[in-house]
Amino acid sequence: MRMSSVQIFQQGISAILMQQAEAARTEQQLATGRRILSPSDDPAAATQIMDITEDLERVDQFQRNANAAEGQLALEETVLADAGTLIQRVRELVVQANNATQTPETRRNIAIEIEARIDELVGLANTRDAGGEYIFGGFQSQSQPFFRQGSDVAYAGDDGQRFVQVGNSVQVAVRDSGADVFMRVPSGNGTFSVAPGAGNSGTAVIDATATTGPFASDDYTIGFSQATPADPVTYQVTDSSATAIASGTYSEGQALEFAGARVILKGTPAAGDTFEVRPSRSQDIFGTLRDIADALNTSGTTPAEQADLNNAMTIALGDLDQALGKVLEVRSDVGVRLQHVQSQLDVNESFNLQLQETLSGIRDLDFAEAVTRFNLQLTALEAAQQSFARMQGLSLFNFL
Amino acid sequence: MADLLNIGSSALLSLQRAISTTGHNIANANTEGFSRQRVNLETQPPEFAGGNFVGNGVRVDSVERFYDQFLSVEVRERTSLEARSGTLNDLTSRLDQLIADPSTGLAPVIDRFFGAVQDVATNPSSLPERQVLLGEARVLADRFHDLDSNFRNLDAELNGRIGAVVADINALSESIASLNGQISRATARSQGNPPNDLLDQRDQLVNELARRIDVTVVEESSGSVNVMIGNGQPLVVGNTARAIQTGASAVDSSRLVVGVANASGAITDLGRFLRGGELGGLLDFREQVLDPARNQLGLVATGITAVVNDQHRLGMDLQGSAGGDFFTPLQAAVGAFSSNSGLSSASVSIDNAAALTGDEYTLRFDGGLWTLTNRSTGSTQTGGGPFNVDGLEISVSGTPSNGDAFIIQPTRQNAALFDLALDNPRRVAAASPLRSDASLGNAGDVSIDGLSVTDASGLPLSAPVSLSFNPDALGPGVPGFDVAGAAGGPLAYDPASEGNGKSFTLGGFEFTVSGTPQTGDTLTVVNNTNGSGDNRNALALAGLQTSNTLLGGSASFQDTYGNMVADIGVQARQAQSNSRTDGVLLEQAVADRESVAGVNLDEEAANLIRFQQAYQGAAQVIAVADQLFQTLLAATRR
Repeated sequence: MRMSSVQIFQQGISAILMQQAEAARTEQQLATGRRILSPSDDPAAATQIMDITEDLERVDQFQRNANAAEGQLALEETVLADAGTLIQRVRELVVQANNATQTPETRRNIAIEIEARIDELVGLANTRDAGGEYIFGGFQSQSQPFFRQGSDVAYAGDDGQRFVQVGNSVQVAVRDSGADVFMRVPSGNGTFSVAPGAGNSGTAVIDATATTGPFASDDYTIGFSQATPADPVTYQVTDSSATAIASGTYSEGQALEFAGARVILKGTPAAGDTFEVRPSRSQDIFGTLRDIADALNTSGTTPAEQADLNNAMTIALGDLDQALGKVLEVRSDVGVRLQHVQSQLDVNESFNLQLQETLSGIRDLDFAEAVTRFNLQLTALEAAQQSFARMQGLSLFNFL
Repeated sequence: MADLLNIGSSALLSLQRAISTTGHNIANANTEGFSRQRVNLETQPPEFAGGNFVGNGVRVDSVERFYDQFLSVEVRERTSLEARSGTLNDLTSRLDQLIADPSTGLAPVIDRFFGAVQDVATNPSSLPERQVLLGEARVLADRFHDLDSNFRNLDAELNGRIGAVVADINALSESIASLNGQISRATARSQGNPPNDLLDQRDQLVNELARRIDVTVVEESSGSVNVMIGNGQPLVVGNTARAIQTGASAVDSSRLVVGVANASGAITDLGRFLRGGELGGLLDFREQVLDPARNQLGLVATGITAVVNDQHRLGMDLQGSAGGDFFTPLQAAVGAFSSNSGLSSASVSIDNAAALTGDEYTLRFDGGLWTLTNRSTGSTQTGGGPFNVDGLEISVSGTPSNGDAFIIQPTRQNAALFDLALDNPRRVAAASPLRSDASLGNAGDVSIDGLSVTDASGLPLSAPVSLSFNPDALGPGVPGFDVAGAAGGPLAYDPASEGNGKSFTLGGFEFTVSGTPQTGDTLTVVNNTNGSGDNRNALALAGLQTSNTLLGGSASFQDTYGNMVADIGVQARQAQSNSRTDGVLLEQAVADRESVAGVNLDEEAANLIRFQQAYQGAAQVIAVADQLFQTLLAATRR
């Protein structure tokens, strides 16, 4: 084809310009270390980069949340451990107080310590975190949840529980409502409770209780009668509608079984003595402690008073075991959550790494390839420049 | 002898002409649009002498330019296409660069905003976290404004460039018209011999015009050309030029449209007919790239505002009041055409942000009915209104006249209007307005979980709602809860079969009951008084980051913004490859024309030598004639 002089010139120049543009682009890629310089380079990858960056940000946020949750749960665990130790100590005191060597005087001393323990427990239940929030207050974390009301301790918080997002679809509870920890402790053995009648005059005390099958939920009364002191003591169990459901001759240590419950008594009841068997209810730990202190304060030396105290202490031990069980239950739950958070921290960390890798694969430059390409482009550019110069140097006019 | 002298001198004159034409070619080797010329020589009529025809020398027949009409038309058309795709590519790649740096985009600030929401969820009662959240929300608003102002600056720049291009077009039309006059006069004077250089000049001007806008050229027998644009709008007719004008758009006064002035002086918009060239590229960029991008950015702004506000209003703030708007509510913009009768009006409200598409609509009244047209998809609805389309409710009122029209741009302006409505950190509604409690005296194990508010209009509750378990609530042997404080009870609940959880909805809230209650056990739902430690609504707000709340429930905020970025990226890529292709095709067309019309200096050098040698020969002929004559004189001088 016939070429015009301008065209030869243009062709050479535009080849050089194009080579320069390509080389400049590679240079920019090398300088930034990025394969994709603007969305048009690879629109799909550009949105992918955006998505991955968002995920990375979120994982970072989850790590921050998880660290906060870890702190919260660790604090709660410490408090629960302290509460457990406290209840354990009270349990020891109760065992000690139940000992026959104690006098009303020494029991009152024990009662004083128990009262101090109540204050300590209220203090624990009103624990505040670093941010000044009451950790057992439910949603009302800014107002003190537990306070004394007369001799009782009342709960002013609620059932609210705070959750924190620690993973894409993982929320972990970082608080427990004070009601669940301190207020909702089942009484008795967890199924039913036994209490002596108010005017008992015999020496019968509760020795042990157990369930033998499904407990038929109702209020039962065990009544004792003895026609004459020479006669054997008989018992009769009536339900809430005064229907007798079991009866027989009483002997010490004998298991009374009815409606799925087993009650073993020690000592000898007097005629007219009663024991009430009720379905387990929820009661608060503070009340349990209060009752123990009250029983210790009012202990006497007569056999009936001794029996009262023994009964109160037996009931107290049962209730304390329930309380301890409750605290342990919440504490192990907190432990599980803590573990969950910690494993989530690891999961997030490895997710983070994996995302970083993916991101790098999409966004980052293959340096070896880019440097090779750059060299090639520079060679091509030089070739274009040299051939341009040679071509322009040729002219027939040079020979005229 | 006289003949020989004549022959010699005719050759000298003709070759002089040929040499000077070669010189002209060399001189114009770098003149754009120049077609090389050549002198066509022919023999002079022979003389009949002595029964033979004897040659009589040479003469110049014509000076011809190397020109191929088809190749020239090809170059002109390619020039138009290349100018359009080049302009589109320049502008689109600028937009592409604007959003190229991820750190200046919307994505990181959306991340940070929701990160701050998470921090509030972790520490709901702490003021610093709330303050940070408001700060991040302001940063988000600023970023929206920044991005939108980038778009708006481009829009303003387009106005300037459109004005400049139209001025160029008018100036070029004037020049072409005046050249038309010169050419037809020159052609008439030369009795058909073409004025080559003037024709080249005019071709060059028409090419310049084609670089601005796609033109149709029709040649007249007089030698002048008529130039038309768009749908036949004449620009040059003979030696008169008709100007096109720019004026403010009838619906958006901030925009220039291109058209012609009608009798009343108003501008008739020709925009949709104008294609090709720089002007076509500018208009296409505005319509196909910039406007959709702004609409999509506005869609993200509208979506975040609506979705976050909806959730925020279901919450409760630190002062115990119901959550208000977090962001200033955004509306859809309606513009009336300036030609409207003024007796009708249209209003648009956003019903459902999830259904918004970012499309624009025109509403036109004709023959007693309104027609709503989606400008992107072309789908229409006809009727008396109101219309429900893509999450919008459009109502019309007044007494419309035929031709009344409105343009509806639901999201165009909203990125600029995006703003924070809250300024008090205590007003951030991190809590939920209700909480549930199981009575401490409950004998059974029963609880309410997942209490959430679906409609805050009935809140706060005037009295607690209490559920009390009754084995015969719904008749003998049919257990359930008696409800006090709210309509809708009793609620059937059988602990034996539903103890793992059963969901209920009462009034404006829903919840799940699980466990085994005993007779008389009560559950209460109460106002969340003092609930400063509650973070349920903050968690729900944080969850919005990844839920697909926009584009018909298929995309999150981030995805929607990602779509915009990807769209611009795809368009930039396409524009780039189109521009490259059109550039190559133009180069090829130019090369084809140049191979015919372009000057090759080596060739001209060869021609110079050829004509110089011939000239030397002709001079020798005259010398020989002289010698012959001298010989003859000498022979006769005695």
